[in-house]
Amino acid sequence: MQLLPFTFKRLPGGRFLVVNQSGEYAFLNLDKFNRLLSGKRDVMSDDYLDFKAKHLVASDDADLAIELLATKLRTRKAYLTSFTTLHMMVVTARCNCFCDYCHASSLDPEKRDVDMTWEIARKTVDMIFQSPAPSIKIEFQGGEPLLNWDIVKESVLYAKHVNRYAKRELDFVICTNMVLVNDEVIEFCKKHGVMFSTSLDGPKDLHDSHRKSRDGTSSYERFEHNLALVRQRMGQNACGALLTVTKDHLPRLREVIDHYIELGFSGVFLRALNPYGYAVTNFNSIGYSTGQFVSAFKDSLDYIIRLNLEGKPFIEYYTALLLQRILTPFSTGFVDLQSLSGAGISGVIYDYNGEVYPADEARMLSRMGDKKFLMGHVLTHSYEYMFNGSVIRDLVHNSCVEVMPGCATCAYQLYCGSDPIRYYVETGDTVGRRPDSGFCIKNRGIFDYLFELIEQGDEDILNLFWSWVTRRSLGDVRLENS
Amino acid sequence: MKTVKGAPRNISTPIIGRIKKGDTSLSLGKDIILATPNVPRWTFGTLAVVTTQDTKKGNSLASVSVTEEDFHSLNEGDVIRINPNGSIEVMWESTSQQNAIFVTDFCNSACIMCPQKTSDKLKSYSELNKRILSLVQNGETVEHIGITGGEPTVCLDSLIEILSTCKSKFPKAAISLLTNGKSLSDFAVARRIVDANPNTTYCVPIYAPTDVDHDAIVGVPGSFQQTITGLYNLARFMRPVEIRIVLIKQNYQRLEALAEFIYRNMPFAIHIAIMGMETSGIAGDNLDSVWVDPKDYQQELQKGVAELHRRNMNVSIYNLPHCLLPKALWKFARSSISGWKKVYLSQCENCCVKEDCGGTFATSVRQSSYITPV
Repeated sequence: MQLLPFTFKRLPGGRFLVVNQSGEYAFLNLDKFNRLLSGKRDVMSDDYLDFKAKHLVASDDADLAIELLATKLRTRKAYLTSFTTLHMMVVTARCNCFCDYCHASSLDPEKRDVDMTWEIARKTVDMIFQSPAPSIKIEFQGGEPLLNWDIVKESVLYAKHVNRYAKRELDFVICTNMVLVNDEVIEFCKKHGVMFSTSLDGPKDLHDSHRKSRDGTSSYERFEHNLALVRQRMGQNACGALLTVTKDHLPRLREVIDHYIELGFSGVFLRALNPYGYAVTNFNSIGYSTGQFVSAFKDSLDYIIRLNLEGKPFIEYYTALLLQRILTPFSTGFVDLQSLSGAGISGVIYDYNGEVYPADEARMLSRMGDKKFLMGHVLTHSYEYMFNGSVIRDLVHNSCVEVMPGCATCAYQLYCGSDPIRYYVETGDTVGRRPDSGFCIKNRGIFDYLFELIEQGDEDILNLFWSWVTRRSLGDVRLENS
Repeated sequence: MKTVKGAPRNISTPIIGRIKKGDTSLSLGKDIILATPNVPRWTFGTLAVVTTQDTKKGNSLASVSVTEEDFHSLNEGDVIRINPNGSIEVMWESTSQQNAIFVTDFCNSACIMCPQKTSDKLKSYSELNKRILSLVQNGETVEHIGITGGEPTVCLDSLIEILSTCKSKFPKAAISLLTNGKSLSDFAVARRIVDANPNTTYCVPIYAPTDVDHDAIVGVPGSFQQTITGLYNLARFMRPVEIRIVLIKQNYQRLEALAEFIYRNMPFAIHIAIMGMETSGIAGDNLDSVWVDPKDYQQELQKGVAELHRRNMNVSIYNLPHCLLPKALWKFARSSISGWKKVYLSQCENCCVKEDCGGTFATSVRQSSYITPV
């Protein structure tokens, strides 16, 4: 008998989580764990057969086990083969709001010199179509992209024109605070299949106190009004929302979730503050420790689970993503949590001035004065220069968790990813230091909790998790009454 | 296959032909077996006659007499073989969508619960199958054909020929190829087979999630590795694969682990069929070592089905009557036993779900002792 590579983690209560090289896991007590390590072969024992079925050990079938493991790993990493799918265009750095956590450090709406010009927009779209990806998503960002609506429209039309020959699966998303949405915008988005992505910070008082509009009016009222308009014309699911959690939210997350449900959202993405932009300058008033966030996240998840089991379907999207990685053999394309890091090779951002960065965070960093991750400029550099250049190469070399210090032996390795830009902000180099990285503490905390729930094995909760993973209703997943 | 017993006259070698029903004795061809209650005094060129009367002595016509009931069970267009002992084998039922072609009796596995008696000789029924297929009419209306054995892939040329014939003769037919998948571990062989007919689903058994248990059931070391490699080759060709699990004493306790193994390693399977055992053939001989009453594995079965269903895998239960299943599993139970060997026991008369139930094997030497009206 031979051991196949695996990672493990000691769990509370003297138990062990063991994960093989393709992400299959087992919970073992100390006794079984020792038996696995001892390598003693008792051919017909249940343990031995369990270990073998999960590709933790092999005997004379090692060739087959390794081929299956390799296939599964390849499947898990399949997102790498399509290369850059997500292309973000910052059509302006201006915004009609000044949210106290704005990672992008938005600027005053009167500063028109931070709008993307048509020349740069056209070159950007040309650059986007040089990506070999079979499906391309163009995401319009800001600032507030509706402040430069003409360029958004022109870019959509031009991209569709180019795509008549390029023939990619082409999607558009506009990330907007909804304040400036009007009939013309909706008509255009409906006609050209542009989906809305927005932010909702909870009930009116929370939303307005963090998502402040520059003219002093309530951004919530416009949001609510325009959300209804968009849904009326384009359907209930035309608009997804993101929640940025500040200190004020921590004690009120259940209320925020209720509000999401009240407004008819099918789920929420609970996003922690990241160390960029105004979130850094305003840390004292809105910040919290990562530990506090993890506790609040767990509490919210408990609450969401309870709501679902009471018959109110609602998804926490980050949990759904992590569960997909834990429970299924499939590949998941989420650029912010990949190994290799998705920066540049899965997603890329084109700034209003033509500068290209591997991630939103790198663009935010440049706004804070550090252009370390500048890949090039759409007007002066070639696709090859930018995507095969030193910035991307360094990121790729330094963002593979399988060989990174602190990650290489982590049991969550295959479900997790790296954030080299965040590490750089935290420690001054892209490899970073794991034990005290906020990124690591957050994800580790969430993984700990998900595995705790999985090990507890409550059938209702497992069915709910599977319903999120397979995108079916709870009733469809259950054996009975479906 | 469906077999009928009759009294032969003037039959010295097996006769294969297609049934034509009616009184006429005119314009018959050399492929026709006339089925008629009234034996004609003479016929033109017909191969033989199936009748309900006693045929008269002195008549040189090849004939076989059967009961009224058996006579009516034969249909216009059926392809039958009349043997010298008077048995009539229905090789192709014109009214059925469950016809099967037996490529060979030989098998390169030796499963301890095989419901057949396999042959030691590597011999295909190539000529017979060619003859049967040439006799079948209205090929464009055929929706489904099973190809089975023995192990059909061991007679590769014969199998390829059948697959190609099916492609041209039955353009709309979905083919289920029942194979242990071992030959498909050779990429070149797999390519020949998948190229021969695009409408083929490959129905491949996996009995356990490790080589230890699987090979012990299959009786040939190395089978697990070959079968899995064969399945991966089919996946490379993007061909639909159905995985079949027969539940016996040796594997039912590890069904849950097998479900997870299939999902993790073969998520491309379009269908998983979990099957009750047919206790005939070798399974009948080995009955005491392989038998487990389905009633006794209800819990394991429910867990296995639940795990696959949760994972959004398309799972069915074959060969098990409703009374042996927890109610929650009824919607997964399919009527999978071919008409000619499906039976309802006497106690089933009063059952209120008989209509939905797939019955049990008439061919089995042991039935569950828990078959009881619901």
